[in-house]
Order: sequence, then structure tokens, then C-alpha cells
Amino acid sequence: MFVFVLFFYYLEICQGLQRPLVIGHRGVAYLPELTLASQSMAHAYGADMIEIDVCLSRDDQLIIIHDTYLDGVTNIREMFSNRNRSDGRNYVIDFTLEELRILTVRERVNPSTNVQVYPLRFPSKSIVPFRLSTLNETIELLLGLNHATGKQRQLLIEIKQPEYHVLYNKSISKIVIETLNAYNLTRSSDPIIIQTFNIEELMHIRYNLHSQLRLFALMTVYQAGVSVSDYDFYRSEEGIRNLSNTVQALAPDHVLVVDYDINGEIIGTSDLTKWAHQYNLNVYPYTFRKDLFPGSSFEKLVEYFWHIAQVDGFITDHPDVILQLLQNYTTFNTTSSTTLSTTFNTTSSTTLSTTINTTLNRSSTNFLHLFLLITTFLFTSIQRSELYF
Amino acid sequence: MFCYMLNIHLILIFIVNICQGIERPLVIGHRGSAYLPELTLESQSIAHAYQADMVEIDVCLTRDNQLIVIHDLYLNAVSNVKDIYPNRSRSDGYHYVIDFDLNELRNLTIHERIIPFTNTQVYPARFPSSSSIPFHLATLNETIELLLGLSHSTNQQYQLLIEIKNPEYHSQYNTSISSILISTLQAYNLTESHHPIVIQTFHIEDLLYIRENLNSRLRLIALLTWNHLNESSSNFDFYRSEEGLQKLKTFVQAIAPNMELLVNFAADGSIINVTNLTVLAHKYNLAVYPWTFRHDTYKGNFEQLINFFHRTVQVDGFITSQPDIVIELLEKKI
Repeated sequence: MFVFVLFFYYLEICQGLQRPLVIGHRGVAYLPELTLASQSMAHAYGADMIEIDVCLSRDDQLIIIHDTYLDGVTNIREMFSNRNRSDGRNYVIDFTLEELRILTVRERVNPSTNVQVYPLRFPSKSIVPFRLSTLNETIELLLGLNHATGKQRQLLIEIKQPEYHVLYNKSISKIVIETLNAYNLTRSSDPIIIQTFNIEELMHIRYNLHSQLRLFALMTVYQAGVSVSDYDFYRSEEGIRNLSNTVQALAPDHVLVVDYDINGEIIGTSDLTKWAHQYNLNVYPYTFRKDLFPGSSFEKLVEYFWHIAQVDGFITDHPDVILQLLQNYTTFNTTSSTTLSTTFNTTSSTTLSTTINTTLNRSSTNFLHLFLLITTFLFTSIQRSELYF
Repeated sequence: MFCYMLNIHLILIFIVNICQGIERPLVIGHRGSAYLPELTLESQSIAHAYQADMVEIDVCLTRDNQLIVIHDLYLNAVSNVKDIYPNRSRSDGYHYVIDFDLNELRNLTIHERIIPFTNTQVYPARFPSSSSIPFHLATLNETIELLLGLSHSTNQQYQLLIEIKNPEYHSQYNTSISSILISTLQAYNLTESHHPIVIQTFHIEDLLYIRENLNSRLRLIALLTWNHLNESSSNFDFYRSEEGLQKLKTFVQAIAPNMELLVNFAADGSIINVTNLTVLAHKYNLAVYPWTFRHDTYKGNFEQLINFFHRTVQVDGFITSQPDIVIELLEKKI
């Protein structure tokens, strides 16, 4: 009986050590995407990896930005009035780094309407002067924070649209590899991973540029004539086997990992994760955004992907939320209700001397469990021995 | 039988967790936190991510009366001012904030603190001061907007503890930095004791001025240190006495003393005994927030230090450069 109970206890500890990875998408949701402040928060929250995007400027500098245009996240239209293309947008590749440095970055808006895309996030009208950063600065931020905190986090660099950059005679991948080389970041054991949607570009990085860095294959829903690579092939068993020679993981749109019905309910799991695991590839679906899932549905979503779909990590705008959920689920007993693992929300009080509700510390909870288990066992043993009198 | 015992076990854990989870002292991130160059917006952001209840910042005035978030009255320890404005130093070799306009200060980049005119980093274990990342000086307005925006987006309110640096020095330039501060806060409708703003300074008479002449209702904290350090003209010997604390009680909510005013330390960093300052302050309902708990420079056992101030001295909060470490220690169950 006691062994049975102890077994569950150790199972909990083991689960705690092997939780899925948490990848902070563009840093975190709470500050304008991809800014140094947003990346810093992801690091502080404990995200295992910080995901960033790179595009090229006119003078071949690697700029940390998600779109190939500037109108979604900067004040470009206020600073430059006649540099837009015929579609009305201002493209990163039409500007030098020096010009891009004078822009301020803000929370994402729809460029046509100026309406904030995610209303609950940082106010896009705020005057706080965030700035675009370069890949060099981002690398230095990671290394500097790892050094200062003693915590080794990693950078997941998405190369945006290599095929688009080729039209300008630029090999963005080559420039990324060269920049990383300059910081001695070259090995699979270094805290850098590269990903892109262009699967052939990953082959090029591995076999032509001879990089030893870890690579992830981004995948989305295949659209003939639109998609740069044949994702229908690459997510088949044969395609995954093919990929496993070159990359270390898949980063698929979450709709390729599970099947949803018309109402958005999960009705099953696809074979993608099974095949990926068969060929020793990890699976990191994107993007888990809490503000798109009301109520407790986000928690249920994460639990499904973790325990049923069995993915290896989550690409999320809310790394703190998922980390908390992953810690909460790893509680000892199998019959518990969620109240046991509830965290207390921190709410500031108005008086200075009032103290704050806190979240529970996991390791100390474990000691408490052990102590009470032993008392339970002793009590049960004593009861049993009485029966023999 | 087993299920019955298991349920008792669970209920007991639940109750104990609730009791232990309810209260811990406040944790105040000193200049944001230790992990990024002090007082930058990035440093403030990660203090919030580390769950600090308050972020402590310092303000000084520029030549054009703008409030800049910086600790020193001069720029040489944290910026590249001597490269950008080589001819603007005073005769002592330092470049003073008050000699520059805001738009000039915007051209500077900020780095981790060094000993001025050397390349020596003051805290070697921290962010590399030689990094090429262009951090910038923030204004108070930007800091307030970061507070409001971040509290909104994370749905977790934190508070700003604003230290007014050397009001008497600023008076020499015919400016009342306190008045400018109160006006700036008013522009953001930050005026009441329940708003997430607290003000502190070493010049106690300025706190009285803020309370009685400027009629502010914001919470105020009296910074306390030794007279001989000349932080201000205030008589800290008096304000530390029972009579002084009684007087302080009429216009401030708390005291923020150097931690060495609360305990007596031995040379090796261990604690000899407790002074009566905390007990006296509590007698007059003043909260006590000592500074500064620095994990990377404390010579003794940091956990024991925090524990002692928590359980024995019974302070109401900690001003620390490593809010994450202090929070973890305070939440650790014995």
C-alpha cells in the first residue's frame, strides 16, 4: 500500500523534471512584440526559449521584426511620408538600419484601421519609445541575461521569407550564420536554434552552409501555388522521415497536430506527432494565445496537447501562463480537484504594510506531501497491527 | 481506509497551504532589478515579470525641467556622455544631468554601471557593461506609462516607488523638483493614497512640503541614513528617535532605513543584534522597508539574512536588487 503511494509520489517528481518546453513567441504578449523589453520578460518568466523573427534591411542588417513591412508595429508613416510602395506599405528592405533606428515601436495595430489587434495587450497609443533591435543586440541580450541570472535560456531565430529576400539578391540565411559565427554560436550545444517555413532553405543551411546548429521545420496548412514548400508532403510519414535527416524538430501550426470540429472543439489527434516521435523529432506547435481562449478553455487546450497529443513544447505568447499550468498539473494525487493546485492571484493592497497572497512553492509542497504520507503510513500501520491483538 | 486517509492528507495540505500562502512582506525591486542596466525600461519590466510588488526608481531634473530616471546627479557611471559631449563636463570631470536638455540626453546610450573614467564594472556578475546594446534613459512619463500599460496587459498591478534625488541640490537651480513631480503625476491622475505611486526622499522636510504645502494625498516614505553621509540636511538622529518617529507619523506612512540602522552587523556579515528602530516604528504604525539587499555582494549567507529580517526584525518589506531571489526565499516553507 505504502509502495503504491510512494510510486505516485515519485511519478510526480519525474513529471516535474520532464515538462514540455515553453517557448516565448516574440517574447511575451504583455509588451510590444520582439522588443528587448518583451524578450527580457520572457527570460524572467522562465521561458526555455525566446522566439524571434529576422528580416533584412536595405544595407543587409538583420532586423528583429515579424512582418516584411513596418506599418503594423512602428510609426513609419509619421516619420517617412513618401517611401511606401504602391500597396501603401513601407517595406523593411527599402530602409537602411540608420533610418530604421529613428522609428518607435508600439503594440501591433491593423495598418488600415489603426485599431489594436489584441485589445487586452499593451496600449498601442502609449508614448513609451520602444525601438527596433538588431540580431546582434538580441544575441547580446540573451548572453548577458544568461550570465547575469545564471539561467541558460535559448534563442529560436525564425528566418522570414528567404525566397523573398533572394529577389533582392540577398541570402538572409548566410548573413544569419555569419552573424552567429561572429559570436561563436555554431554548435548544436549552443543556445541558438534556427527555423523557417522554407524547408529547402533548411537543407541549404545544413548542407551548403554546413551549419551544425539545431534546426526546426516550421509547417503550416499547404496551399498550392501559395506555400513555399509542400507541407502536405513534409507532414506525411515519408516527408517526416526525410526531414529527420536534417532537422531536430517540427514546429507545426496547431491545426496540423489535432483535428478540430466546426465549433473549435478538439475531436482527435493527427498522426503527425506519432510519426515525428517515431523518427526522433520533437514537436513544438504554435501559437498558444491565452487572450483568444475565454474562461478555462485555454487550460483544457494545453492539457490536451500535453497529455493526449503529447507534444514536446508550446510556442506561446503567454509563457508565464503555460509554465504555471504545467507546474499545477504535476500534483501528487490522482483524485485531487483543481483547488489543491490553485495559485493565489497576487493583488496589491492599498496600505503599504499589508502583505500579498503568494503562489505556492512546489518543492516545499513536496516535502509537506512526504511528511504527511509518512504519517499516513504510520497511522495506517498502527491501525493494521491493532487488528492482530 | 486508504482513501479516507488520503482525503485527510489532502485536506490538511490544503489548509496548511492556505495559511502559509496568505502573507509575505512586500518585495521592492531596487532600480528595477540587478539583471539589466539599472532603471532602464527593460530592467523595470523584468522586475514586474519577477513579481516584485513595487519597482523603485530615482528621478533627477534636466536643464529644461524634465524628470529623468537616473540614480546619480551625473551621467558618467551609466552612460557614454563623455564620448557624445566631450566638452560639457564640469571642472571635476563629471557631466551633470542638470546641464543638459532632455533632447540631448536622448542621444546617450546607457550601460551597466562602471566606476567613472575606468572600464571597471561595479558589479562584475551583472549584465556586461561592454555590451553594445543601446539602452536609453527613460523619462518619468515613460516610466508611468510602462507601469500603467504593463499592469493592464498582465492584469497584475505593480506600484512605483519614486525617489526624489537631492531636492536641496535642485533648489540651488531655482527649481522645486517635488512640485514638478507632483504636477507630472497629477497629469496622469495619480494623486490618491490608493494609487500605485509612492514617493520617498532623504530630505524629510520636502516630504512635509509635499504633504502640507502641495496637499498631496499620495503615500510617502522617509528614507533614513546617518547624518555624516550628508544625503540631506535633515537630522536623521532626530527622526530615528521616538520623538522623531512620532513626528514622522503625522505626514508619512513608512520609513526606509539603511538596513544597518535596524541590526548591528559583524565584519564577516553576520548579525550581532537588533536595534529598537523597527519596534519603535511599528509602535507608531509606520511600516519599515530596509535597503538594499544585494545577493551578489552580501558576504554572509543571504538566506539567513532574509530570514532574520523577516522573522526576527519583522520588517514589512525588502528593497532588493534581486526581487526574484527574495520572493523565492520568503515563500519557502520551513
